[in-house]
Amino acid sequence: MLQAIHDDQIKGLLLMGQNPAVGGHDASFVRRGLAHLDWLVVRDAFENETAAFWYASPEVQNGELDPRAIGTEVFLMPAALVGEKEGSFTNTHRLVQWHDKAVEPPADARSEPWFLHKLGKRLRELYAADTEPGSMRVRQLLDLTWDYPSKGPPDEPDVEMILREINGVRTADGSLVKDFNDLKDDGSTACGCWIYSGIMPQPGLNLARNRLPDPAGGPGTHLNWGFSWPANRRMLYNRASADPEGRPWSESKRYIWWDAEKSQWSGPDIPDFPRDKSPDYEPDWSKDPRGLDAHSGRAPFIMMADGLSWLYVPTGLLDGPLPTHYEPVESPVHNAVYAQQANPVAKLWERPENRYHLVGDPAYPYVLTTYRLTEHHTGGTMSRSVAWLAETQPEAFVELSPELAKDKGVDNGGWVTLWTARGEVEARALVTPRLRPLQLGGQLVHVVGMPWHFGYMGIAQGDIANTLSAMVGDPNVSIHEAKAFTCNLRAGRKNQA
Amino acid sequence: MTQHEAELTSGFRVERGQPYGFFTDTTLCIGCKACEVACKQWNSLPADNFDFLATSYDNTRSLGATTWRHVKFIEQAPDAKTQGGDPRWLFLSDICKHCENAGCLEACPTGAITRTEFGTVVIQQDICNGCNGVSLRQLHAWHDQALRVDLEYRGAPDMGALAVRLRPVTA
Repeated sequence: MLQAIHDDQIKGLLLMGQNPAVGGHDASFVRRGLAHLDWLVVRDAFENETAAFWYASPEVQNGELDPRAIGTEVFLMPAALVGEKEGSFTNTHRLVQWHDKAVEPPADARSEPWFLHKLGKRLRELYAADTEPGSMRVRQLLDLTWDYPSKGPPDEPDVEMILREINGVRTADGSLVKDFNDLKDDGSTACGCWIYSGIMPQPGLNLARNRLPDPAGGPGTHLNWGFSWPANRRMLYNRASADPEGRPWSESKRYIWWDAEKSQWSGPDIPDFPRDKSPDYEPDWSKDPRGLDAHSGRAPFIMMADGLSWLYVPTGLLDGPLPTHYEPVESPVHNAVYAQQANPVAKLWERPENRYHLVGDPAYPYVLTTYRLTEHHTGGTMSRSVAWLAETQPEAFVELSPELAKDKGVDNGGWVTLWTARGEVEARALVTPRLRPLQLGGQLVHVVGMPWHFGYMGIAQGDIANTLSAMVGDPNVSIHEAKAFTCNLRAGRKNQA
Repeated sequence: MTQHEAELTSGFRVERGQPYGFFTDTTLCIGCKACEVACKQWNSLPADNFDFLATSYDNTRSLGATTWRHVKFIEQAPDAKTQGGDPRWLFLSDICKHCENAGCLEACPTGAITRTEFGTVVIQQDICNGCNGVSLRQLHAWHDQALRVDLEYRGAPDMGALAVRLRPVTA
C-alpha cells in the first residue's frame, strides 16, 4: 500500500492508531511517500510522526522534503483512549472482553465508531445529491444500512447495536441468531463475522460482559468470563483430548469425553465437535454426505477438510510443506544447511529506494535486529508522550557487545551511527555483555540491536530504527523481516562523517 | 538460621507475625518497571529525569525524593562467579521501606516528610525545599545495606534456582 502511495496510485490515507512513519519498514521511503498524498487523516491521542512528517521528519531536516512543496493536506483528529469509550477488547487467545466508558474523553476527542458513523452519514448526504443516483458507486453507499442509534452527549453510536450485527440477525424480523449454527446461506440471515456469532444470543445479553470466574477448585475453564470465539469454546479441537473411542487419554487431564449414557460429548468446556456425534460414527458415502457429516466420529480437527491434524502441509501455506532453515534475505553468511540461501517465495519489492544487501557483503558486515521495549508501545505514540513512561526509556539507543564496541571505538553512552542501503540513523550506545558475537561457519559475526519505538515527536525521542530496515515480506502474511538484516556502523554522530 | 538470628547479629528481635520489610522475589521480576511508573502516577510524583544513563535498561539511577520505587538492572558478564558461558541479567525492584524510625523524617527541616495514618512515610512535594536530596539518597543507601538482599545459588546456575533472603547486616 505504501508503495502504491509512493507511485501515486492511492491519493488519500486514513490512519487510526497507526504510525507508519515509525513502524513502516524502509521508513524513510514511507515518509517521503506520504508527501505524494492529496490528503492524510490521522486519528490518534497525540500528534505522531506520521501526522508531523511534513515539517518535522528527518527528510525535512536534511532537505529531501520541502514543506513548501508538499501538497498533502493533513488532518489530525483527536482520538478517545480505551477508558474514554465503550467497546470490546480481544486478545490473540480469542477472549472477547467488553469494557465500559469510565470517563468522558477530553475536549473534541471521540471514539472510532463516532468518527466512522459521522463520516458515513456525511458521505451519504454528499452522494444523495449525485448526478448518477442509480450507479453502483452511489448505490453502494445509499443502500447501506447506516442507522445506529446514538447515546449522548457526545452523540456516540450505541456500539452494542454494532455487536448485534456482528452476532447475526434474521433479516425478516431482525431477531438475533443463537449461534453460527442458525446462519443460513439463503439470505434469510445476516452476520458480521461468523466466529463471533453467539456473543449476543438474546436482546440485552452481551456475553462479552460476563465477569464470573470459576470458584477455587475449578473447573478453571471460566466459561462465564467473557466470550471466547467461536461458540465460547476455551480450547479449540478439544475432542482431541479424548482417544478415538471418546475416552480421556489421561484421567488426570480429562477435558472432553463421550458420555455414552447421555449420547453426547461432555466436560468442562464447550465441545468443539458436534455434541451428539458418536465416536463410532462413519459417513455413509452412498448418501453423498456434506460438511461435518462427511467426517468420521474419530476425526477431531473439524476445520480441516479431512477432519485430521496435518504434520505435512500440502496446501494452505505458500512455503511448505515442512519446516526448514533459510537464512534471512540479508545475511553475512551462506546457508549452512541447504544450497537454497533464503526463502524462495519471500516477497521482495526491489526498487531504487528499497535496495537489498548481498549475502556476505563486506560493506554491511553486522547483523542488526530490531525489537520492542517493555516501557514503550509499538510506534510509541501512546507511551513516548507520557512523561512517566518516557523517563524510563528516554532516548533511542543501540546495543552492542563490548568486543564490537572496542573494535569500532564506541564508548558506552556515546554516539554510534548505523547505516544500510536504505538509510542512516544515529543513537546512543549501550555496550552490554548480553550481546555476544556469533561463530558462524568459522566466521565471527557481530550482532547489533536497536529498539524501534523512537521518533521525532513526543517526549522520548530518537532516530527511527526502521529507517534502516528493508521491505521484505514473508510469503503467507507479509510480515516484514525486521528481526535480522545487515548493516554497518561507526562511532560518532551522523553529521561527523 | 537460628531462631533469633537478627537479635544475635543486629541486636533486634524479630517477632513472628509482625511486618518488618518488603520481600521482593527477583526470580519472578521481569524488569517491566510497571511498579515504578505506577508508584509515580499514584503518588503524583513528577517525571524529572529524562537522561539516557547507559546503565543497562536503568535510566532511573536511584531512589530519591521523587522516586519511591526503582527497578535495578544488574548485568553480570560471564566470569568465574557465574560458572558458565551465559551473562546474567537480574532485576530488583527496590522501594522506600517506610522505616519505623525513619531517619529522613527525623532529619527533615521543613516538615515535608510526614507519617500518614496508614503508617507510611510520605514526602510532600509542595513543602519540600529540596535541601537534602543527596542525603535522602544516602539514607536509602543505608537502607540497602541494612536489608541487603543476598542472591545465592542452590543447584546449577542454568536451573535459575535462586534463593533470596533478607539478612540484617552488622556494622
